[in-house]
Amino acid sequence: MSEAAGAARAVIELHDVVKEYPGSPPVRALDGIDLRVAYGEFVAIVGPSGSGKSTMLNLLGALDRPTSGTVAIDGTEISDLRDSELSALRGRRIGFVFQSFNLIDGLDAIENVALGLVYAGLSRKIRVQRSVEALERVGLAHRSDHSPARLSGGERQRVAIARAIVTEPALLLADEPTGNLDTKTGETIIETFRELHRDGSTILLITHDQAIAGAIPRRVTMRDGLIIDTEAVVV
Amino acid sequence: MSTKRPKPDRAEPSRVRFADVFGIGSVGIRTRKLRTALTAIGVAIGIAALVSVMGISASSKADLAAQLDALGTNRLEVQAGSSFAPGGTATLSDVAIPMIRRIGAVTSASGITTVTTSVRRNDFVDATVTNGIAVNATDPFFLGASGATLASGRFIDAAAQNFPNIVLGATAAQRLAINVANGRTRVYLNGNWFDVIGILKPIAILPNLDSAAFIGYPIAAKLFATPAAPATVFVLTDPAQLDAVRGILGATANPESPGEVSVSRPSDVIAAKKAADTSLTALLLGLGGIALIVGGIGIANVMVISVLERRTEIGVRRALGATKRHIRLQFVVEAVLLSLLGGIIGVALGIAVTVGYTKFQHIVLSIPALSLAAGIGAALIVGALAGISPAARAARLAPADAIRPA
Repeated sequence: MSEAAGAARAVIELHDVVKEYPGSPPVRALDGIDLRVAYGEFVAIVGPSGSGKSTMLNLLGALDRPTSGTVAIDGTEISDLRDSELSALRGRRIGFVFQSFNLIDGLDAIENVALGLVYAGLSRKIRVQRSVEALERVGLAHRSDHSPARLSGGERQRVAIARAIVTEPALLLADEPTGNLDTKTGETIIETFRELHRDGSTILLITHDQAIAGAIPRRVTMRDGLIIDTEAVVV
Repeated sequence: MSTKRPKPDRAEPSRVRFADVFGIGSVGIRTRKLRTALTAIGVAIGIAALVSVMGISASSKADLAAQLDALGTNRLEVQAGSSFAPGGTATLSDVAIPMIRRIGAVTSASGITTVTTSVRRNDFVDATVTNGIAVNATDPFFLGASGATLASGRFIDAAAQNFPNIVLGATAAQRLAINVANGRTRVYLNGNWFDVIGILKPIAILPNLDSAAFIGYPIAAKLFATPAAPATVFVLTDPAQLDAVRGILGATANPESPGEVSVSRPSDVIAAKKAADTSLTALLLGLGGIALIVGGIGIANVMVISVLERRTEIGVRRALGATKRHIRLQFVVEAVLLSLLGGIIGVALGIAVTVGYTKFQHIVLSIPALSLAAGIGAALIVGALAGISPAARAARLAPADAIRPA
């Protein structure tokens, strides 16, 4: 609070980030990226396939480390972290929403949501309590004992969102969250994200869909491993 | 929710509660029931084989012990043994039996002496056809001292021993085709007709006497010039003083050269014989072990497939905070639970087989607790071994790769 309040506080800080994948020749997926996202922002990363969006997701989600440059998430520089510390960072500070939902079939909706808390070592009672709250926030409390197979696509994605927010992460990362849904359902999902943003969540959404990106306050456009456009913060 | 957070340190480490380890490890098992059942069967067969072989073997031993106890482990057998003098034939003293009876702890003693004759059904049978039946002279105390019992008729008593009366062992009676001793059947011993007055039951403790026939000492001496010195003396003693009696029997039966006398305990001989008969048990145990190994390979196989199928789940768990260790633990626990399920089924099956076998064979049931513990323990070890490699593969998956379908 005291030193440089607000301005210095960023949930994401990328500085000159390069990511190369080995091969002959090596593939340079990110070619010197600088990006800063403040707490409370709602950002879309847009770009065609092959622009480096997925690599960005891997780094922002602490799923992978950069070849060079620095990636700081919620104030933690990930290059120095051991594998178990990366796991902890993902589990405690980041919530993931995937294109194909990635729910576990053998578990019902509330168990899938509670999975986000299993690795935080919380008791079953607290896990259930917080999972119910998370399902309520995405409007799915009445579906908590349904198996994913019996839910519609939109409902599954909302279960996945509940799983992502149940840990109250500093950053919510969504990778093409509407990619497997029809336009109308996709819009309701974006609306859910917008509500979460209004309630204070920091959201970073990756998409190639310009229509969806257009509805999001700030857009970061990528091409060939570079950021070519960063629109001003509207919030 | 606040948009401002205090300057964070490194995130608190991921951790899983002990109770949740089993929940996490059983998801794959609960959601793939048919596969679980088929995989567990492999281990179950192996464990069932091990438990039932151990159970049947233990039951047979317990049954033998019970039989021997019933027959009496307090019986001793004294034989002339071999002479130290070159060419000499060792014999027991003429008064060996009365001397032995005088030992305080001896309850009963009786001797037998081989009679040089043969038993034939009648005089038309050639004299060389002996049917392998040995004729022994004995005294009225034989039943009590040897533990033999009658199947029919009566034994040679103080009166009958003076006349041509004969008692047949179970096998001897069978070979002569005599089923019952009703006093009307006679057999032919080299020129003399003997009345069959009794037939013995098989003598479990002295099986070689089943093919023998018994006549009294006085008639044997009179007709066949059989010496009065016994070749073998059967002694029944006070169980508590068995060893003490054993120690002085030599000197009592043959005071001149006690070292020539051999004293043995028939129950020991039988127990040793049965104990040596373990090759079949070993073979079956080996087969059970192989079944268990095959079952273990089956589990490893299924675990490898499971890891391939569940790449995305592994990726999601890693994204939700699972460490490599948590993933490894999940799959090892899954393999162990799978194998344990097989182990429990196998132990139950093994007990059922053992109970069935002992009922069918009418023998004592004995299932060693050790075999049950060993069955479960073997299942745990097989599961852990089968799970290690697939679990390590699962843990090695890079989260960024696992999360997207390959």
